[in-house]
Amino acid sequence: MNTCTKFILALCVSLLSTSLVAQIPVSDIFNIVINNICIIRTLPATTITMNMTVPQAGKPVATVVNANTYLQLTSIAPLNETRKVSTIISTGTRPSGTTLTLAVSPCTSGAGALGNTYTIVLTMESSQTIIDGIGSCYTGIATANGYKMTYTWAADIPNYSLINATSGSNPITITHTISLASEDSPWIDPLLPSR
Amino acid sequence: MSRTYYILIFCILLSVRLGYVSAQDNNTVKIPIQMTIQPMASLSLAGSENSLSSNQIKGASQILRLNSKGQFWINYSSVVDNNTFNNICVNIVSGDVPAEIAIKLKIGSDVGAGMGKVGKPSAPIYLSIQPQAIITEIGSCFTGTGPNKGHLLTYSWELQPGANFDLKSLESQNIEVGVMYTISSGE
Repeated sequence: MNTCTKFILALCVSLLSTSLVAQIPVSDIFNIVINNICIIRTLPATTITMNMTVPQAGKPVATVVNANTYLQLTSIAPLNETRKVSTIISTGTRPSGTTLTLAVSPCTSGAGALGNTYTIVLTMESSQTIIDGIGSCYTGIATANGYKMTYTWAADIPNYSLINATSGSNPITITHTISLASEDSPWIDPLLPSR
Repeated sequence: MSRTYYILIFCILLSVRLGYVSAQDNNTVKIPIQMTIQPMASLSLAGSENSLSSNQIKGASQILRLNSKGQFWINYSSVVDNNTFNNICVNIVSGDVPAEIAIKLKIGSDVGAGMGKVGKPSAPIYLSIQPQAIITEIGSCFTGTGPNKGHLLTYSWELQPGANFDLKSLESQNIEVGVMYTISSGE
């Protein structure tokens, strides 16, 4: 073993020992990530059936009320961000000469920034806000947890002559969407790669 | 070795992608609603001192007497299919009327207490056992309930020409005529 070789070996050993020394005072770094979450559902998730009848000769058709469903949601929002829920008749046609109203009651279960609720007349043309100011919150998942949804189907009295009997039953679909409050574009998780 | 890494990276990306899609689905919820209005028609009589039948589905009956008040109101509700109509007809269902006597019925226009496409009154008619239309082209509408709602009907007893007695002389005979009003689809 010549001098040069010995020197290189010594250098290696010293480098190794340095790196070993550097490994000893290890500190643990915890990366805590709370993902953006906003998910909604309705309970029960069944079809709502509404049937208009005349209670007495001379009277208009009676108003039909359904207050059986609850909207439930969980939301984890970034700082200073709020979400809203908006609603539209997405398929089908509301029977002419009638109005369909949705009244949303404040959520009394769960916890957090559960927002403000509104009453709207549902249309096929535009989405309307039923809940806004939603921050980080949850409604609970049990029966009667969440925002009580009261659907009221009534004759539009000034346009009563436009009422037609439905052939069979008239199906429509109502879509609730949770999104960023500032704009109508759907919320996108910034942690995920953009499409 | 590098191939294994590529597969691993692909799987991670795929799971992220799938997670993203299902998160989108949870941002909306759809509620199906079935809305039904059956075609329907009902009528009732109001404001008459005559004995009336209780509120029936399709019709109401009435007893006419010589000495009873000759005015009353007809109320109705109707929901029709697109471009179809209901009509109200009247006919005598009981009682004997001397051939020299006719019962005339005048039909007023709807007074506007309700809303919708209310019917058109016909010209005055003489009651018979054959049903005759008195209010036609009833669309989807309601008249309101009770007196002073709907159409005012007025009946009068008339002697035919050539009768050799007057109506007063018949009052002791307690002549009663049963009359039925029905509402049904126009065709």
